[in-house]
Amino acid sequence: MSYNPTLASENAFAFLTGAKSAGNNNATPDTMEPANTGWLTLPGSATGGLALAGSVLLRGIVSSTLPCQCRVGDSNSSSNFWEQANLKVVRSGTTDGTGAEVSDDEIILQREDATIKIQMLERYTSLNYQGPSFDATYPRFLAWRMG
Amino acid sequence: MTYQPTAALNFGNMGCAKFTFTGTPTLNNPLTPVLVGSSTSFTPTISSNDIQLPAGEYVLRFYGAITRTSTSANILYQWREVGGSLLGKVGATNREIAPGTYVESLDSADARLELTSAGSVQIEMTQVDAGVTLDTSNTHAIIWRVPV
Repeated sequence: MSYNPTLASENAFAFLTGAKSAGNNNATPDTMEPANTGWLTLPGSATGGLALAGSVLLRGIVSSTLPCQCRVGDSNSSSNFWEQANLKVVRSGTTDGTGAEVSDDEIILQREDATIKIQMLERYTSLNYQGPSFDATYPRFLAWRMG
Repeated sequence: MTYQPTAALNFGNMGCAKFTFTGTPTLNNPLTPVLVGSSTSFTPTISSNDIQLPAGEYVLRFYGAITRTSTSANILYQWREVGGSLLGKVGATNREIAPGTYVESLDSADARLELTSAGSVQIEMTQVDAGVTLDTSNTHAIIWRVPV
């Protein structure tokens, strides 16, 4: 008989925060709760991704410290537009407020036995939109282990 | 020999519940939850401002909505385990994360919680600007649970 007790009562949810690399390179989370979640492996390097064991549903947001208009998603499946988020951050100033619409659509994706890397996929460049520059304070992803 | 180990994963037993909220947003105070509906396997109860939960593993999401008298008026909110600390990450209606630097909508307050015995959570206002009224039609929360 084969029995692996370490599998018993494994968590079904995980909470992911942070960003592996500041700037506009890699917004993949670098911290998770519980830290010993066996079905997730955090990026090992600044350019690495989040490895998923089995089927996992992820949904959450990234955050930018610079004004930006961009699309953000899994760089490994950048053709899947329906999984991407549109991030718009506008600079605040003395005249901002009225009409300063901001948005940060959720990234929602499902992968199985894959490595995902949350990155900027396309951006609008102008003097007013220098970003994104991913920050590590506000991003959060919820992960559901699907089976 | 018959041997049935604890299931490696209880995802198939997942349940969820939806809530709406009432109250006046006040700094460091909770809103009052109203249970809208829940799975048959997960029936949380309400006591005053507390959502009472049985033992389990939870994902909590709260979306705040407001009406304003000023375009810069917002609220921030975060889950709290009653008698414990704030949980997860703060959520907000549009706000300045760093005044004068940039603005971004954080939307939902998100958290994960594991309770080995029954416990309670609240949604707490961590910042309330003047002139804000809760939009009770759109303020809501969803809590997912799997047994531990």
